[in-house]
Amino acid sequence: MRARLLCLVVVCAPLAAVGTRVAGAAEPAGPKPTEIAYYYDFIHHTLARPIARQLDLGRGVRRIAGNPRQAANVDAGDQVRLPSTWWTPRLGWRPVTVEQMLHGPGPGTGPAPGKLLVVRAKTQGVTPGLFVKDSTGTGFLLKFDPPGLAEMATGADVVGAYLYWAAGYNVPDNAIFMFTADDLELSSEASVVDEKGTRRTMSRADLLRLLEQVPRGPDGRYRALASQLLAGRPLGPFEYAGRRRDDPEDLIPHQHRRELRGLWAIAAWTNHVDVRGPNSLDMWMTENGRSFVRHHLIDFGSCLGSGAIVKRDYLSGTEYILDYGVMARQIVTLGLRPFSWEGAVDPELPSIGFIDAETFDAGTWRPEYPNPAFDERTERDVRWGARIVAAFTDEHIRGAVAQARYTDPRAAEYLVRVLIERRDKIARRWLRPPAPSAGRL
Amino acid sequence: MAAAAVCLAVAAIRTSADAQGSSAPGPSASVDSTTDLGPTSSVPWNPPRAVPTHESWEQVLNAPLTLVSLPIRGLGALSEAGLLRVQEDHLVPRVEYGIAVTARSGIRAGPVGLGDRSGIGAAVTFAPPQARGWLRASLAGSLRRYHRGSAEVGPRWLFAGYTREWRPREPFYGIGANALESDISNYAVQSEWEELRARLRAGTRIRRGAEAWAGERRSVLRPGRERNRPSFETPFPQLGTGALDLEQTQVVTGALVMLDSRSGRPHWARGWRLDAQAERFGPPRGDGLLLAGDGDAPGFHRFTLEGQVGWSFMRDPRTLRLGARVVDVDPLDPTRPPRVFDLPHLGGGAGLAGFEPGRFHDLDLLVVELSYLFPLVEYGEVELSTEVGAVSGDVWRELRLDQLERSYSVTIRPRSHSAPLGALGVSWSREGTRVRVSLGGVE
Repeated sequence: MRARLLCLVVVCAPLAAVGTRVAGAAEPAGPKPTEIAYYYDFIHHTLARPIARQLDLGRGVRRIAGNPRQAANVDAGDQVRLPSTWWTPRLGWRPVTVEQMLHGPGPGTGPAPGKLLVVRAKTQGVTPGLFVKDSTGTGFLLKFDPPGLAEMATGADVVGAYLYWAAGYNVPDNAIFMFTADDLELSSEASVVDEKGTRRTMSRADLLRLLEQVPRGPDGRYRALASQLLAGRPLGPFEYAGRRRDDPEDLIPHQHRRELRGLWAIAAWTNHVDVRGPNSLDMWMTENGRSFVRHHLIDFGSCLGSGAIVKRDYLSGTEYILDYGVMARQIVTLGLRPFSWEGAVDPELPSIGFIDAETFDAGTWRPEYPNPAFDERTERDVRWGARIVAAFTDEHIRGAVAQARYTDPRAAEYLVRVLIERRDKIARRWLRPPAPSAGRL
Repeated sequence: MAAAAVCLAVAAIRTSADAQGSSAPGPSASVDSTTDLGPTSSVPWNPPRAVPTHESWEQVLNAPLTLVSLPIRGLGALSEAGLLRVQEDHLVPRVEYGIAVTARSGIRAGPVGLGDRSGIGAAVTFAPPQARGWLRASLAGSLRRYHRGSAEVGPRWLFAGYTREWRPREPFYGIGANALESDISNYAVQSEWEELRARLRAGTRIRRGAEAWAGERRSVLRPGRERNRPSFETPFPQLGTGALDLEQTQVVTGALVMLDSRSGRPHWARGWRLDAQAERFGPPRGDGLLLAGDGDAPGFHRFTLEGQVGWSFMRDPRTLRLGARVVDVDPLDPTRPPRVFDLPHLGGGAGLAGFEPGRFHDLDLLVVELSYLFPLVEYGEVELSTEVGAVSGDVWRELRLDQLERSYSVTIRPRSHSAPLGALGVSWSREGTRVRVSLGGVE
């Protein structure tokens, strides 16, 4: 857990900071940038908030009455009111071809040919990262796989971005990018935060030391995920609860937004157990003469079978890190009732990590720790998300997985099969005729 | 049947999407497939005014709790600000770097347990890499002023060692299984010893080991430092006579053989272990080799036999364990029994956890433990255990089953994927209930 949080620090903080430089000078100031304390986020949602929820009398009354609070941004037909800066209707609501999906987040080609100028690096944590500019001046974050698990995190990040884009969410343009050390040039202003936590000028030796940790492809080139920096000025991550109060267009508590509650179904499908505030990013945009906040999901390196720096545990998605319900059940049964994951069979595919369909429970899937929007989800929210999941055809799934460019064909084949089977499980569980009262889960 | 239902549902969704929402309800703005699939820059839909997190009646219901929880919320806000500062100032990597640098120079620091009721402890160890493992030193101390220092020189299979220890508040209730709970007292002991130790290890599946050692010990029994308990010589004057504040020396020799086939993670889940140890604490010749004293201490032989066996089932192991330990002390001179700190004892971590530490002292002891471990969550497990045991003047002849004391424990053990990290438990016996907390060193 600690390592994953560190990894988030590595990835998200610099993403926001680098983006700041490209902000336009003439645009309105916009909301104040915020930051989430990753350690606090974990402690708060794991320890404090579950207790507060149990003591919430209003919630208790609603439970007894079977009258959960429904999402606040839906119309009489129970659909998301548009326009939305969080979500765009795509699969499930209108046709999206595989081609459209593959060009949706961006061209998906990664940096333009030519030298890459390294402007910044982070070396602490287990997964290092490089901020580069390509020959056209476009900024990218290069992220790498952990040692011994080549293709795993980068593959998941690419596949995840396509799937979440097709599901309607705003995501960065991610692509697999192969390069050699000679393709990298150091900017005279390149800096690195070294292992002591001190920022200093980056040297060629620093760069080579960083690359030593990076797995190489069969041709000796380094494999990276190239994530194009989002346009606009970064405002930091959004929370899955509350509002950004200095944004006049953010009037609905996030936990009562259909797009975030219903995201549960897509997260369950893709086993995105890392879906939490720190893996999001708000950008202050100016488009068509209007300045506004656009909300993005970022960092999919911890979904599917990848745990970013390790492969996912077998129990991933079956329980929170500290799951009081599971604890109570275990105590009552003296641990004799087997966990569902105990029947899991590891595919032994290092580029996939671990994800399966056999032990996936489409009704009870859980992220790594409680997400406030997911906690408020009702059956209507999940059905909304399940509709999106079910709209992915086998061809969409194959198309997204192909972008990971797995060298082992068995890996792509396995991931496609698992995603198809998980999709069908979600459809089977949630797309039956609605219950008379679509209550809180 | 179910599969057919799924296919129908999936097909229905896709058809409705292909029909551009004409039949199925869709998002509330009109959706046109010819429009760009990209995100909008239009003004988003919003209600006329901000939606409250809780509706008014919910706020009224929760008002008392909201008021009561204000200080906690304040504390939470402070914690958040503090942890954000930790993050922004890269404090975690800086600390990690500091630990890594000191570790490279052979210095490590961490929590340590110096025994029951010794307080929170920490230890610093030093093993300079230049010495290639031939020099090891450590210094440990606790908030209740226990401390221990040691140094070893030589390879791990043959080394000379020196240890010095101060234990100021060791509980003592008298000798024998019938010692009264009300006779609680305490003693302090200061000791130092030097030794030459040879150690052999072999085997992988069944690990075999043997050790032999010889050395000298100088120890002095002092009045206990616990303020609200009498020192042991007050309720037991006969035990203090001729022993208190005297530096006494002994020659110590011993040997140990062990067989160990235990394996498993995060706790050992299968296999067995057998240890047999024999020691002789004899009178020194003259003033001793290195350590001089005021006289020689009572001599004795001490034999310890300990065994464990475990069996587990299911993938995240649920484990049954059975363990037993017998200690037999034979004085060299029946008229000079060992001093109190050399007597085997039960209570607390030494066995019979539901009794106070040091609750029973005598020449011999027997304790048997049966435990069941099962997983609670990914990073936690539970241990249920029961212990039976007793101290005795002669464990082979005098011990009777009806004398055996019983203790029961429930322990929650935080764990990593490879080992238990600590323990938080409750133990109870006929004399009461104890809460136990430990960090590291659970197994």
